[in-house]
Amino acid sequence: MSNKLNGTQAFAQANGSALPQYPPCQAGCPVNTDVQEYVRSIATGDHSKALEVIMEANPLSAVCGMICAHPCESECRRKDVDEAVSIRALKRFAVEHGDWPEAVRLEVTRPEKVAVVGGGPAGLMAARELARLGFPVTVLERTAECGGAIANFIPLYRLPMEWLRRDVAQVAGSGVEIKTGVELGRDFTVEDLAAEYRAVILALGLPVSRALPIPGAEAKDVMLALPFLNSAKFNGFKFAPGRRVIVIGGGNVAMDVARTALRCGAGDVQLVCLECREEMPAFEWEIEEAVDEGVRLYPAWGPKRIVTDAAGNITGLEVQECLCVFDGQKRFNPKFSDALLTIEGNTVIFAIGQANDDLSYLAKSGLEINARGQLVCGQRTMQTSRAGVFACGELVNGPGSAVKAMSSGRKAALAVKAYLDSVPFDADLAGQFTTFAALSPSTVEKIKRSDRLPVPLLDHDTRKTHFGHAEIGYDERKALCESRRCLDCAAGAEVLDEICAVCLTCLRTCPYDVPHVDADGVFTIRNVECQACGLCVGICPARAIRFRNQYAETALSQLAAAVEQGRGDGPAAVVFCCSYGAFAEREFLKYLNNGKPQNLAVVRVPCVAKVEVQNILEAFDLGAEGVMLAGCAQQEECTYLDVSKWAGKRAARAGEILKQIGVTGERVRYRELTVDQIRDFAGVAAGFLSEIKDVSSVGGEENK
Amino acid sequence: MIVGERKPLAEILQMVEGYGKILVLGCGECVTVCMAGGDKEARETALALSIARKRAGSAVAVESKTVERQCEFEYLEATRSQAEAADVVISLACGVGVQAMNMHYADKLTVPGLNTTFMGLPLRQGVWLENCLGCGNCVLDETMGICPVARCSKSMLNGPCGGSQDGKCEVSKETECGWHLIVERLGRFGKLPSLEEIKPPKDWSASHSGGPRKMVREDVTL
Repeated sequence: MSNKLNGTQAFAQANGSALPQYPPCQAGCPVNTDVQEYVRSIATGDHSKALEVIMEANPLSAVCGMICAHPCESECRRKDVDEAVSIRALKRFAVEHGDWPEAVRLEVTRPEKVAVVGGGPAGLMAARELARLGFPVTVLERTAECGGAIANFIPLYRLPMEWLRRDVAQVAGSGVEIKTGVELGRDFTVEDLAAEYRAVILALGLPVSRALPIPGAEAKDVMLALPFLNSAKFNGFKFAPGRRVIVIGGGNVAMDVARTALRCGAGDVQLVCLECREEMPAFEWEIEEAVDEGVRLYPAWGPKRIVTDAAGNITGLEVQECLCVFDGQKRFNPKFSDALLTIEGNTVIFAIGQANDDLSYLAKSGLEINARGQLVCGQRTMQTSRAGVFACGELVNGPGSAVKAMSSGRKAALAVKAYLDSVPFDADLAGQFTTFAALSPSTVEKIKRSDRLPVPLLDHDTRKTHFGHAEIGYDERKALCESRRCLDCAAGAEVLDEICAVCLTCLRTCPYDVPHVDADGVFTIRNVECQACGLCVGICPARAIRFRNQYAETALSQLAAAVEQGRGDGPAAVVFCCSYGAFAEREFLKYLNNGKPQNLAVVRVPCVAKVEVQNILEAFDLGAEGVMLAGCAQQEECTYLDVSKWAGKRAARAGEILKQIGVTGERVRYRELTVDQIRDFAGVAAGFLSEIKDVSSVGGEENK
Repeated sequence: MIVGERKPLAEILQMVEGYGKILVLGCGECVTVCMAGGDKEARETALALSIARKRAGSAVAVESKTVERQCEFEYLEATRSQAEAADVVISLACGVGVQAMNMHYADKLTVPGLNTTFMGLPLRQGVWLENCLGCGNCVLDETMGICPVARCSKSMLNGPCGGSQDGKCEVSKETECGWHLIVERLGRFGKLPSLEEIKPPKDWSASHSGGPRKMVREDVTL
């Protein structure tokens, strides 16, 4: 049986029961999105289902489709074979090509009102989860629209606002009340909230840019990252001609600043950071895209002073060579050499980190603020020092990705529920799950190599001239190919020990060395090595192997309905076809929905080699006059091995059985179709139906 | 293990002609392993019968089920409701299982769906080879672990006959000469002279030739 739960279910699962086991991608996702399921949905052409799976775990689905830091990809086991699956780009594809559902207003089942202060990722997640738990929730956002740092600072070339707005509209549509333009400490206090709401979550983020107290920092052309990004995004900020910009910082915000500066008309952009190139904290792809656009990097240089002329104009930045940033204990403790360098420029932008607002006003409401000006909040309880007031997101955890902030928001929602239910809460116990380790080398060497498809971007000369979306994203063909690179980790074979005859047929059949007899002679199917090709299921004489994820069974269970629907004029015929590749393309699906003859039943199976002899016989038992197994001639593009061999053998075996009962084996056939044939399936279908008709009219079958 | 193969479906159909309610009963042991009578085959057989009878205009209710081991009465108990409800049972077990069913459900006819072929092993996937005839008096120690009773078409005990050519048996070119294999192996172990010893006639009374065999172990009888 599958012990997979969706992210929220699993997360909310009470501690003590069996923990869900997630594939590494899902385990690596801070909100535990069921990556495998949505990638598989894309691969089979069901982009709307993919979007639904994404939205189930993630209220900022579109945002994450565009800009997620995708820790899932770092965990993807495909990287042990060649390169990780391009999961984030596939999410974007689902977001762009799936049908967005109408938001369904969630039923309010609890009387206790909850307020969430801050409409960033953490706040929106907390609010949505509370609404799902039945609470009436209000989000109080100080700016004009929700999104937090995503709305205010993420440049438009990375995330057009329409996508954020679409996500926020879903949250609002689910029944979360959103009030914008209202600010804690200015328009209302925690006491005001406490009077109206039974619990309050503070998700205030880190909206303040930090600077360095170096000489020259007060010069007039010194800017801070966040106000600069905000101004470029909303106020059309442009540099005067001839501005040469020096960005200080090596993180993702620094990259945003540098690339935004280019788009704001900077003459040139240079970026200085303490870390050496390999240790720069920004994501590698952000750095590469910045460099491609013309940003010049000065890694391993520490800013010493901003050089100004007599008139106070900046002429450059003096930097000192940094030998190492961290000491032996991995503490920030930079060591410098004597080497100095002056980088010429006339504008300096600090992008060295963020801090929270001045929170002293909260102290007046009984919330403890520490000596560093930070809100005191229990990491495991999510509670502040004031009962009923919780906190989450960057405010609590420090700078991080949107998806990480959402994870924190989810915990805060559960903490609030526990508080209102008067039960204890421990964030560390709330989201427990297990995962599994890397693939064994013996399996890795047997898996087909398949290059990761690069995500198309506008060319750098074009994209750096405007704020239009820089990434083009996958088209359907690319998405279908890339999604097939997923290894379906552990979704496949599991043995039912009580039925297994230990005949070792699976061990001999498996192309991936998954079934195994160990040195002590004990047989196991190493599920976590399985590539889900299904060859073992089809051949196991005891029917003792099941897929852990039942997607293939579900697909095959459509047979009866398909045949029933297919009863029309002329002999009914069944096609079991692959559901990947060209069989997942829009054209083919359109044909199935609107173009196919009524007497043709089509059952799409995630690999035609998963069709068993029994399934073929069932079709005949249901009244079919002919069955075709339709595979794909592009074997080299298929993830699986030996598909053609086994699908052909199954068809032949079924034909042989039919022959024994006086039905001609001609009624079963295995065909390998080219992409063109699949795209013009009407021709294939017409040919097949006419062949079946011919076979039927010739007669001579004993039992006819 | 015991190896079998499904009878031609036409023959099975003939056996159950006239019956309206059929149980196809698989066995989870040897015949599962040799892919002749396990749950997969039981389902396929049931479907084939159903298709055939539908097409012949005499639809039949066919069920399939597989028990752990058909040669144990306790396991057969697990199929009582289906067996009693059926007009006839087709057993996909070896002949032992078929008889066990007829003994256990004496009022119900169980017919064989398999031909029990031999005791043997899977040489490789999909290929099974006869290795043992159950002669009741094993001589494998004298023949280097290759059975002259099962692997020689004539069950000869004193070396190959004149029909052994290029390592093949005169009965079929597909069949390896068991004695050729034995002689080769004796040579490899430097034991060829042992062939010169004249073996006394084998006591075939320990085999089926002595009549149906029965074994009693007093230490475990109840």
